[in-house]
Amino acid sequence: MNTLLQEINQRKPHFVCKNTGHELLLIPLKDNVADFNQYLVLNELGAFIWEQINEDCSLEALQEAIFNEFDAPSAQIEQDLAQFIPELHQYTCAK
Amino acid sequence: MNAAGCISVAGYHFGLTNESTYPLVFEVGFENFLDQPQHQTDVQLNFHEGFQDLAPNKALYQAKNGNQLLWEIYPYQDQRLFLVYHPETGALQQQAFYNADTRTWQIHAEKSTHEAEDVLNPLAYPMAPLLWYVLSTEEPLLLVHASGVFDGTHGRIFSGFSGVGKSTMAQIWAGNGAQVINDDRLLLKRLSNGTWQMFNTPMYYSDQNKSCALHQVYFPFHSPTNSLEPLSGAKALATVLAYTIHHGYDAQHLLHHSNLAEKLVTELPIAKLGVVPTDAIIDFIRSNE
Repeated sequence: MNTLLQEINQRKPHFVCKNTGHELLLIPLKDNVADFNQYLVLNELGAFIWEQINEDCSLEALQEAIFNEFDAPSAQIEQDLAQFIPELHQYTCAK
Repeated sequence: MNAAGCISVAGYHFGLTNESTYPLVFEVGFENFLDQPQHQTDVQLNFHEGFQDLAPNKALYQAKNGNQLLWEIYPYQDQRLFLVYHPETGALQQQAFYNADTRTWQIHAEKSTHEAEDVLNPLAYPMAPLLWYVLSTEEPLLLVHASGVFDGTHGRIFSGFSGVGKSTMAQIWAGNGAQVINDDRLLLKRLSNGTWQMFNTPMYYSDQNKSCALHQVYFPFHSPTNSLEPLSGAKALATVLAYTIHHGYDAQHLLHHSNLAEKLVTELPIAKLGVVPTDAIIDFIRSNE
């Protein structure tokens, strides 16, 4: 999972981010017209995770940051991340 | 050098200068957008005959239709170089250098023959829409895939890709007395007072230079019943941007358009519109506004 986080982090400069209240819209930079309308809307938790991902980010640190911010059960956080991080990786790192 | 008038689009003036020895011709859709030279212009277009020998670096952006290149954008010194190709033959059609600091285009094209005369047609498609697009990255403008109609009091656009019913909606409204601003491509302009206007642009056919106020934005889709789903927040923004024309290589341009689209979705009602293509859709829309 930490490898996925680092690969997502490397792709972050390839997106323009637009905050709209509690949501975050990810707009991919492209060098062609293919799939130019594939934007991703992140909810408040997704936006928080996106902001937390950096070169020092680990799954454990992310879980702790979410726990401190959202006061959710650790098991739920772990389960949500196990689903969300691969999905975010697929979106951001897909060629 | 020969000052050759002006093209007026969305209230912006493109000054024209013919640096070639050939007379200029433009596609028929320009005839009601051409004007006398203006004292003040927003963008300058200088036209030249013949191409330069260039060895550009890696393209920043390529637009293709299938395997057919339509245009490419390259960094060139402190400018952007647009190589524009004939949409059917693929032959190089224009070399266009854009200096954003001076808002000046140097557009090179080869002479062609028109009514047995050698002429220069420097804005042949798809060059002209690139001008409107680049302008939209610098001004409060969005270039959108949409039809737009004005019924005398309200301006509405119906946005989406081919096949969603843009032209059908325009025909239905036209059949009920509304003015069609355009049925395919529009420039949306945010005025300084926070209101919005829609404008047509020169097409491949002749039309008047038209505009009206914009009050409602719809995203139609085929449906067994007429239906309406208001959109807001990031979903509305993503939907507007999906049908706004972008060259997605430049983060500043994307940010400019997304900031403007955010204003659009907060200042005007946005909705997905399920459509049965009959006159009843007009009353349905009005009764839900």
